[in-house]
Amino acid sequence: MKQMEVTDELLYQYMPIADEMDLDALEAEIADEEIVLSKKFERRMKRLMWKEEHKWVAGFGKFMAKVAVVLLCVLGVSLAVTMSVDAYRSKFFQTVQEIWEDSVVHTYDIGEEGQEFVPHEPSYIPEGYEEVRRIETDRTLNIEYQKDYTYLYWDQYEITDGTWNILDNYKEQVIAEIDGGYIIINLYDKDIVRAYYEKEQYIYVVSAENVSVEEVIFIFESIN
Amino acid sequence: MIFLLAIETEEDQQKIEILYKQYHRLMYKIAYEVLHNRGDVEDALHDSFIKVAKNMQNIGDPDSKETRNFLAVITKNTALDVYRKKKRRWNREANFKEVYDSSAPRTYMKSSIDGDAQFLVQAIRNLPDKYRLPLSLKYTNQYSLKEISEMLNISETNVKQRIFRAKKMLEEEIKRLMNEE
Repeated sequence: MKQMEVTDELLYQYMPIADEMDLDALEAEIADEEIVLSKKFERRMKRLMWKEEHKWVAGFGKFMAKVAVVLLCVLGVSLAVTMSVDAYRSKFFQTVQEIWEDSVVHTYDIGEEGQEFVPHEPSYIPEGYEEVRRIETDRTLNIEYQKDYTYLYWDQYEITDGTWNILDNYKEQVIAEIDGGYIIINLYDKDIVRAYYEKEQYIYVVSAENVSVEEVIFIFESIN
Repeated sequence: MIFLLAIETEEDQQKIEILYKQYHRLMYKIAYEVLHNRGDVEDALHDSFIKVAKNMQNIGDPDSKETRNFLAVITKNTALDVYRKKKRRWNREANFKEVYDSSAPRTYMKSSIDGDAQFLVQAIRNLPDKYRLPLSLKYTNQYSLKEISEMLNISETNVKQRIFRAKKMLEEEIKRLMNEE
């Protein structure tokens, strides 16, 4: 009786051929077929592709959660400053922003460890948005809002030791003052906005599409 | 230490759109062969693209045979998952086994391969999906056992067992085909 031993070598050689034959046969079958997809499916796929195209908006929050930041806060300091963490360790939060030609370096250092994380979220969200997802950890809060096919993200992070450097290619930047602090609002192409606000031991970030600067400011002003 | 915030290239972000336009019809057909219901097929298709998005780093040239095969395997596996969920809901044990474990021959096309290799190719094409999918990911797309286990949502041990069992089934099928001739 004839037989054959099936080895890895044979499979590496002939498996692709068998797969290709099957897929070619299927493609030949559908060549003249009309495949009609529902409007609901097309909306779902459009939403998925938007998410993929704007992955950084959602991914930024997750990235921030992983990056350790060292906070040095010196009020009124000049732009070109070199500091060491040891020299400025204290009980107060200190922030230094070094503005380089195409990036902003935020360096953070906290003096006290082990403070309890208290979540804060905005009481104002632009009309039509609804909360669709919420992730809370012992140092972060991330909320995703959705209106039709557009998304708005709210992120709160507790500042810990570390350094983070953002390469920013915004087309316009607005700085607004609220409650004794500053909101940095960066405006990008395709009506995308990303804004940062630091208060006490937290950083708050809003990432959104088609939301005005005024509404971003309202969002931060409504933090509970 | 300074960390850079990596923003992905526009090319990567648009790749899913390219893959959708190029392969959604083929993927629809593959899912339909399993599910025979447009609503379920669209669910499977949507879930497949979510998996594709999660595995974008494993996808190279959208036009390559490996990419086409990868999408086909993901779609088939996802369709079978949808079928399994429906089976649990409708309690259709017999029908499910028929789809997933069947050794009934697939669409037959005469192979242009000469010699004994034609029996191997036909035996592969006759293999049930449960064993064919991990084999395809390993020997056509050359993924590791760990990667295959993540893509098919089964344990690595299960992947090894199915590949081992698949080889034995192929040898039995080749013996049958050779002796039929």
